[in-house]
Amino acid sequence: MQRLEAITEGIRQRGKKALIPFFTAFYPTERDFAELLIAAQQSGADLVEIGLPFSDPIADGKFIQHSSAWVLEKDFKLSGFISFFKEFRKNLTVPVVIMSYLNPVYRYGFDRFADFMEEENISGILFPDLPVEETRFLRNYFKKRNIAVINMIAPSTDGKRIKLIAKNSEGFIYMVSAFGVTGVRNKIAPELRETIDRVKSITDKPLYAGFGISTPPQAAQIARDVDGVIVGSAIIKIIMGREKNFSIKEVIEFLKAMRGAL
Amino acid sequence: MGLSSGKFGKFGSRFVPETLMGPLIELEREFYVARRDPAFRKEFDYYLKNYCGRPTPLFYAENLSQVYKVKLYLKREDLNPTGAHKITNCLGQALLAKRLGKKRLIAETGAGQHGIAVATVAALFGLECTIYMGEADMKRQALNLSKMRLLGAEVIKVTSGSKTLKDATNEAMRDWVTNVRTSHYLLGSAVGPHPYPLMVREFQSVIGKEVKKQIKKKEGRLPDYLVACIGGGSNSIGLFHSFLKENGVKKIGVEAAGKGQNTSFHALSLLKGKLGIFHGAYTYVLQNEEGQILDSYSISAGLDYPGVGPELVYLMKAGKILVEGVDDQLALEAFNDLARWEGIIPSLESSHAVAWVKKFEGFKKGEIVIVNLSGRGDKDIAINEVKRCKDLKQ
Repeated sequence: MQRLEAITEGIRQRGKKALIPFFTAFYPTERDFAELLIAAQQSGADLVEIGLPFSDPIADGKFIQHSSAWVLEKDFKLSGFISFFKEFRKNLTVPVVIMSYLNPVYRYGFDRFADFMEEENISGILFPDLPVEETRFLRNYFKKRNIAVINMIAPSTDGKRIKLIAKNSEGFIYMVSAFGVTGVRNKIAPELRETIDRVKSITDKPLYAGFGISTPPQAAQIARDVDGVIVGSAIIKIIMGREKNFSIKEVIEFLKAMRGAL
Repeated sequence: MGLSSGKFGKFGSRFVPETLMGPLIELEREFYVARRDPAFRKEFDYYLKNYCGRPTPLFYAENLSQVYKVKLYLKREDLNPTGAHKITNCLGQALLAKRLGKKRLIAETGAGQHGIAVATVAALFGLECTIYMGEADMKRQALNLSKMRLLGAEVIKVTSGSKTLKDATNEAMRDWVTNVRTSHYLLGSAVGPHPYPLMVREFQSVIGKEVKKQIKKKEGRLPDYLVACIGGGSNSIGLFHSFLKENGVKKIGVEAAGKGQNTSFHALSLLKGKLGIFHGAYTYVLQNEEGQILDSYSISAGLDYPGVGPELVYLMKAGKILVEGVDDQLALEAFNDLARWEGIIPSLESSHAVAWVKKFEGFKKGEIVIVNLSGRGDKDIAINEVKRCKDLKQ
């Protein structure tokens, strides 16, 4: 297992800001998803985040809601994704982390899922509905396999919680860069800067920002203060509404523009 | 039990995005302070008495008692000004929201009863109000939609997922995540992340407290049965809570069996659900093998929810309450029975509780049953008519 801390530390030591594209598993199809992962790898992604769909994604805005509903409608099965990934893994050199709401993984079994992650060298997992206080009950499943459990800090997180999360989050800290759900936004929340400064005064763990970052100038602006940028909704926006004939070139151009901005 | 940890046994807790953790902790803190603050209690009681007309009557349903062959009392929560018990919790939470300096209330609604109650307290206390309602529910509860708008609420149509309460709750939570600095999320049932299940139960427990006094006065003893319907669980936990130590009083929670227990069209979260993490709590939820949440079904919009309050899970597991299912057909029969025999038109939600009394055959002579008549049924008359016409055609 390639440890996430080593990966994120390595990116920093190379003097790079990390680019982390997010893709919903099997969106819009299994084949397109595979091509998107390869495209991300070739466009300079430092890490890719794969989102597993959930029927009730309360932290997500319209784009990720749409991609989740889309694949569930097409009868997405976790076991199907696992079989696919076991086959596909060899094509990826870029490190992978997984994002999932708790319930699908809970139902599948944390232990069994952690086994899969270990076997396929998936370095970290992030649950958007898991607060740091409840991380303890599942950390052991992942810790003993050297899989990082990543926690989030939001603009509403106070100083005491920032300390707790900074201490607990493994691999990197996910900085929620907006008040609200995931999605494309024109502006970055003013409180964000303050929270980032606070986090940085407490810890030197890598800090990656996500939620609402949708353009290269935004990415460039925010990357001055953090170690990396996570971008999801803006990619789905390119595909949404033309799932059958979207242009993968457009996705690649977008990722390259983001890469260039960082 | 579960006071500081936010857990009932191992159920409950809070599983929410980090953005909501700060506000939930703030809300919890303010709730603990307020519940011990005599001024808060006094103000809450003032509105319950003077705005809602509490205590609501405990009515001896003499005619229906003869038909159902048991001594039947009805706790008349349907006489609340907004037509259901929901207003009690709304007053409590709105007073808390004011203490927290929030200017806006957000809420989800299924049948519209909770939405109306929220719109009402928003008007009363001069707060802005946004209500999320599923498109499917908007169609079946058109009158309630008009009422909410009349009261000054902005009602937003939810078109995602099953277009019912579950999806309205998702949207309300997303709004809260976005506007958490200025808005209070006024959750209407004893579900969701801590402190909601505890807080809603505390505000609603006035129902059981009144019942205890009233039945002692009328009968000189406690009842043999308490019966209440369960959607999320606010009216049932409100009735049961003061009686949890009274082991001689059987507590029956009635879930909606929809088109039948053995079909996939029901809302039997406790009877047929599995443990999971849904809407911020570790609880029973209707879900498939993949851990995806299933759509529930019931003729009654207020019971049409795939989750359930964590305290009810705890009480069921501990054997403190008994959970039963009643299907659409039987609920409609009880709806009509109560109208004909007592001149009371109950909500379809409460009709499920009445229907359990109708079907149960184990009563002994002289036993006393108290049903929580949690809401009135004006909103359901059209549904009943449609069903009757269909039956006539068949």
